[in-house]
Amino acid sequence: MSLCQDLAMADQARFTELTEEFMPALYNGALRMTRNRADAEDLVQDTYLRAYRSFGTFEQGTFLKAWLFRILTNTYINKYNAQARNPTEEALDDLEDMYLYRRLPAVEAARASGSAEDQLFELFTDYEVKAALEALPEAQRIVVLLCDVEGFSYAEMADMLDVPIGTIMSRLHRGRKQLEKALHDFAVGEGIIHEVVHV
Amino acid sequence: MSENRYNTQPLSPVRNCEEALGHLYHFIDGHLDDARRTQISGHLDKCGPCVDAFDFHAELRAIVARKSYDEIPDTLKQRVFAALTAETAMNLTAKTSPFDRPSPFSGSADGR
Repeated sequence: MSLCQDLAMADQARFTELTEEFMPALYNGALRMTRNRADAEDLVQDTYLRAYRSFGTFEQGTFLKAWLFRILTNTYINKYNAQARNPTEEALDDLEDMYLYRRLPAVEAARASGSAEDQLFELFTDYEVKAALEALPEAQRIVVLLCDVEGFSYAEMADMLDVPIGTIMSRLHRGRKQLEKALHDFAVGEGIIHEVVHV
Repeated sequence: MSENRYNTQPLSPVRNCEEALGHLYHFIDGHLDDARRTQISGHLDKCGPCVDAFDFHAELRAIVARKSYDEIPDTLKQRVFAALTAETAMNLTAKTSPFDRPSPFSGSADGR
């Protein structure tokens, strides 16, 4: 085996070793972005190939997970011509803050029992939470995903998406309100909120 | 739910519930400087309704993370690694010597 081959294979092994642990999170993010498994798998593969090709630009010591998610997000936006970077002005946004919370008459009781809120949250199925996330407008969906699911900071998201922190915050705020509304609508549809009130 | 269950009287140093709730997301996302965080915490020490609202949203954030997780398919890892190997082989065939480009792994590939 030639020296070149040795070096190339060592490079690949090192890349794999460093990045493998983030693949489940990247897949999960890709799934929420594309909303289907086949596209999510393609997106993860594209992300890894791009990351592999440009690993020379990764600054050692910086946050590898954020670097990989930046590539994932940008690959998604470019590949699907997504509107996440420069979304057209949002349609009216007249949802009030704390949409779900304000509609829970059970909250006062929850303070006494300390458990009604937990019960409410447990009644939401994984399917409903995923559906609520996936129903968000693209730009908001990505930010809610990156923040709430992956735990990135406002600054990290601003860097990934190349938008000001203020834009990140307003998308997050609007996205979370809509998420609360979607969950509220599930809860009402299933009589869940009603049940909790009378627990 | 009526608005007036929140305390609208001036409260020092965070003046009132509206002001505290205005920082709810920044607080649960850890996006406040220490001084502001201390102020909000001080308000929460005295205000049960705000504690409820903050707890609810912190818990909701955690639930969204916990309930939106899909297992990665086993086959995907194999597929990605195979694609990387094909990429490596293609680079070698194209005679792209690692010496012609800055090593992406400076510090490891050079035998440090």
